[in-house]
Amino acid sequence: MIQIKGLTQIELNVNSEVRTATISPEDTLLRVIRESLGLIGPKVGCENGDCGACTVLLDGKPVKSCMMLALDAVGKEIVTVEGLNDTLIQEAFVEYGGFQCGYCTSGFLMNAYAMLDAVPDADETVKSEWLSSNLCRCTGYEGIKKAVAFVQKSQKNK
Amino acid sequence: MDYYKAETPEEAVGQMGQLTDEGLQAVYYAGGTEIVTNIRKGALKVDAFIDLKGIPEMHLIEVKDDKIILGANVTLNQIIEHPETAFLKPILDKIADHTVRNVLTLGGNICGRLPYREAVLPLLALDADIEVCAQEGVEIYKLRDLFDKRLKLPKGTFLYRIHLLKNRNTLFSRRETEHTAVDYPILHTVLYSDDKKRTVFMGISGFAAFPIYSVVDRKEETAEAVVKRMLQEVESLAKSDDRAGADYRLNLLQVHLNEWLGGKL
Amino acid sequence: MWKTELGKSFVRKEGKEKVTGQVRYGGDIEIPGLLHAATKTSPNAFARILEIDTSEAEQMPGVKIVFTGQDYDQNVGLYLSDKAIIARNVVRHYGEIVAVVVADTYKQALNAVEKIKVSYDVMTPVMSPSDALKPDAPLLHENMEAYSHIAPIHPEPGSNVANRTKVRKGDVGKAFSKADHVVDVTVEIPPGDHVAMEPRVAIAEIKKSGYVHITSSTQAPFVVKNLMSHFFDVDPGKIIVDVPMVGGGFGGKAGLQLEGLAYLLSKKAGGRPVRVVNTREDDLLASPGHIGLESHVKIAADAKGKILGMDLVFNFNSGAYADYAVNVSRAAAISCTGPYSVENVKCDSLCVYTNMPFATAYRGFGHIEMSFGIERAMDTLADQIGLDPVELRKINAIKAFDTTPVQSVLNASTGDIETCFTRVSEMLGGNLGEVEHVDAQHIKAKGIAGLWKAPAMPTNTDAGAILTFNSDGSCNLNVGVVEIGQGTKTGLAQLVSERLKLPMEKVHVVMPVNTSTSPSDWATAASRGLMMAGVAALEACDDAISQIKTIAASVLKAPERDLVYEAGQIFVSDDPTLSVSFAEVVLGYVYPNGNAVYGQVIGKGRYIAKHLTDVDQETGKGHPDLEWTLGAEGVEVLLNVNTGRYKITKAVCCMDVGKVVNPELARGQVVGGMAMGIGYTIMEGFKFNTRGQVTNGVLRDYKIMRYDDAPEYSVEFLETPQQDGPYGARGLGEQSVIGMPGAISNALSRAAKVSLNTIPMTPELIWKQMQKGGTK
Repeated sequence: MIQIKGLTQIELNVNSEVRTATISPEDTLLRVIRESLGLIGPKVGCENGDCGACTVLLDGKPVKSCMMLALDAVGKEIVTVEGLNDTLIQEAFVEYGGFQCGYCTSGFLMNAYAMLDAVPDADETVKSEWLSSNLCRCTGYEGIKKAVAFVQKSQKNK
Repeated sequence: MDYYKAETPEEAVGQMGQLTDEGLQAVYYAGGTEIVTNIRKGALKVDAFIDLKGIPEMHLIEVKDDKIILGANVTLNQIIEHPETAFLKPILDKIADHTVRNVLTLGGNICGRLPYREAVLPLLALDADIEVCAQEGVEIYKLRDLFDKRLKLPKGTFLYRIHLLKNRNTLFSRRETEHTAVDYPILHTVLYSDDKKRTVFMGISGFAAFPIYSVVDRKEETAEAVVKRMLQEVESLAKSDDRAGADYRLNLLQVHLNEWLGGKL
Repeated sequence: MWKTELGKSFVRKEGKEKVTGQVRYGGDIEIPGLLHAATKTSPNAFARILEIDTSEAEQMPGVKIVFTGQDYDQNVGLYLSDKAIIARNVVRHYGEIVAVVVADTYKQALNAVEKIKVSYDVMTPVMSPSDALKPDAPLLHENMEAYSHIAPIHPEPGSNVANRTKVRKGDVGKAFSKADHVVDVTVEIPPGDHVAMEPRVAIAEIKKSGYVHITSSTQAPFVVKNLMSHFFDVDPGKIIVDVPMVGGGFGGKAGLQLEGLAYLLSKKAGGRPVRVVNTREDDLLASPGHIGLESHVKIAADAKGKILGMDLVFNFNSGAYADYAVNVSRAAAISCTGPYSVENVKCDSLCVYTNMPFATAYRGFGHIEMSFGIERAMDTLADQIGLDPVELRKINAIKAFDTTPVQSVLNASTGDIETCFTRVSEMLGGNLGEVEHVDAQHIKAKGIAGLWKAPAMPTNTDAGAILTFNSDGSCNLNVGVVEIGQGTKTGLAQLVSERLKLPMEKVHVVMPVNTSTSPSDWATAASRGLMMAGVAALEACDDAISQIKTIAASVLKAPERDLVYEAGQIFVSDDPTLSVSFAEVVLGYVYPNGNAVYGQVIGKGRYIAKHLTDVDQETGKGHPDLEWTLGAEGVEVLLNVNTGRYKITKAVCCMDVGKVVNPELARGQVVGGMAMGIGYTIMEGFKFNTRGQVTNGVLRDYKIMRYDDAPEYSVEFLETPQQDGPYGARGLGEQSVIGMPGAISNALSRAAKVSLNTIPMTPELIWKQMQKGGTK
């Protein structure tokens, strides 16, 4: 039985680095990543699990970090947008207008990146299913669609 | 808030018992999507969490002989992606959204505070057995015996595993929302016809204030007659809320039933 | 040879930062010693505040101050000073802030908020403009007489009317008496929200010297500076507003938002830096949203479909406070006929108080609301006459040299809306009056709407631009326009690149705006940023070139008139071997012997709107409109007649924008506007219970469009030049929301054979109307 009461130091594996943070059990992963670890890529959009601006990868799967305890991420590999290094999806978002104001972008990138990794030949149904998890108010989703399609095409040609 | 992570079912129920004796409010949790957001909003106040994710067998989907055994900690996406349980995909893949389903567990959807519990509908249809952990040990129940509006677990116990028989017919399901698909249901209908027992099952969520279901013995009746009876039983339970009126819900239920009748029974 | 770069889709200047998580928005900024605020809001829609007990909250760990409405007894307001900084003595809408805790950490502030106890004397809320206009309606602002206001706004003390704008053109009575056809349509729109992905945020710090530092997610830093100077009696030069990257505005971050509150919190906390950042709930409800409308549209036409007159009553739902809404209702009156030439117009546009979350500027500024009623009436008229809906619109389309409802004359820069109608019809495959029976359950139908808008802004709206240079001859463009996602800064860079004949990589744009170093700019709103700051930027370029030529003339010993420039080189036109680079002159020129002359080149440019006037209080006559952007939109829908469920399969738009500077950015704006307009029409709007409480105050209940709701978009542009715009360009940021409710409701009404005149247009609404029986 693991017991944690009050402030505790935990280790989190973020973007391939082991980082320490002092947390209270009820602290969310989003707040700990942003405020204790200084990674501001994941955003606070609603803190209700609705908008997806807080999306990070946990062992390769997209999760909404605002609805997860930081404790639940211990021992797992966390990746934020800061951990994406010159990926094709980032380039595609710039080229194809996958964003305008940019606030939802890091969440969308994490989700799209994970999807293209897990299901490279995702069809419209699969893409729609994954990407309807995130809200964007600026683009009408057209640029995001184009960016994802571009990455799929490029990956296929390799 | 204090945090406990159990490694065995005994540890979990034991800790819950202890905290309750001390007069403290504790909750079991796995995915945590609901409790974390409720705590932020001030809608839930607890003194302690008891994390069940340390219990390994609760994360498994096992197939033994003619049975499928689902641990309550299995996420909805894991169920959808597993070949033996992929038949549940049409029902499960509409709950919440894809990202949330990476964390939302079967147990969480059934036992949480939200009144939809859509994942329970196919389990009721297939007359599932459930294992419940209590201080005295693991107890087995018929899901149908414990489910009435919600899963009526004895105090201090938790849902451990769910058992389904492998052999089954096709489940029929249709889900409607107010407009956009990522939303709570205004009606989620699951219909199932059991050839061996000659029963017809209807389970609906989002229609009333809680999920309702009925299992009707077909006897010598036509499918249409059975359906008409089932409809009459639930008509008055249709709710009107922010998302839809009772009349509209009823209309949609009739459309779903008509569609099912159009197929083979 | 310089080849024009205009019309090329350069990627955004700030693009790389946005995809790497390196952009800092207001909520990402860390300041040592920053204090954090959390709010307590009202669960009642209309109530007197009897008591606020903050004693226990003040004792909580980390708490520095607790602030209530009693801490500041003056009202604020953009045009009409009707609002306490937070509720003072009375709450007028659900979700209104009644107390704020400031503490060392956000968590401590939240914990302390829970300890605040408020007691209310609940009153019955007024929940619609028609209720608010009843003679026995309770007065929401009993003290309206004492509110200061600007001259163009006409509040009516003793009522719930915050403003009345009248338009009287020609003789409407006569027009109606001569008419062969009259239609009378009423439409209703609830108030709703912008739902920018970034909730609003403001940080305020007051130095001992008296300098006030504000960091804010604002679209209007200079408005913030000027209003704060006015309301809090601080010299304008002592207020510095800093704007980092903003995560979407849509009008909701214009005006004065959280800045005044942050300032007063800092003041009470001894000047320490305090950040107020909205939770999503507060962003939806405590901060303002968009206006609602009950609109009555009567159109009179002759047998051939020529409109003879329009008689319009707009009862706008401002919510609890007037904010921008009094100007929104005014702007809708100025444009009240939609893009049609109507000789006889009577319009009464009222801005009415109700006990609902209040309204500020929103994309379209009253035009999306106005347009819904007009476009429904147009289709109703087309049906009545038996005319094709596209034909009816073309017959009445407004053209250059026609007059607007306020009798201003459209100049030669007027867009070709007739062609827009034709193109939209063609993009949808024509036959807009017909439906297609796809199968037993499904019907496909199309709908169209016209749109127009001029910026609604003060007559002295201005912009400025400053160009400085770097040692490699590249330049830095500094403007007061905020980058809120609309891409204007990149568009402006293209204009500068074009004028200076410098490649885009050599044009750097200053992204943040700071009111002490950026040139003044009215506000990043009203779709005028590219046009006005663009004209200023071009003037700054010409100014810089003039200075560069002066230096080069000396160096090359040739007259200025013989000098030409390209790609950062300036040379003698008839002997190009004689040249000097920008790099050598822009920071002063150094002779071989070491003598330095001239100093740095600093280009300056400015713009101010010309010839604008206010409108007459009785007739609306005036010239408030700088430039109009006209266009048309349409949709195709697929409807299930058994359930009312439908999908918008296509959304198309043809707009006359004068000059397309960056096609991808322009398309992005238009598509984004269509998406917003679709959400507005089919799934948004606040919902209320019988106690006036909002029941959909989180994003899983206040739903906006998602990826799987998006239709196939088609966009085309026409380029009738804006003669006083930069390279012919005019505004386009807002316009594509405007026609969506009309187009969608026209298509669905046609498909379902009913009249759909309320928003949101849910499947259930359609089904219910079909049950009642079609009106055709």
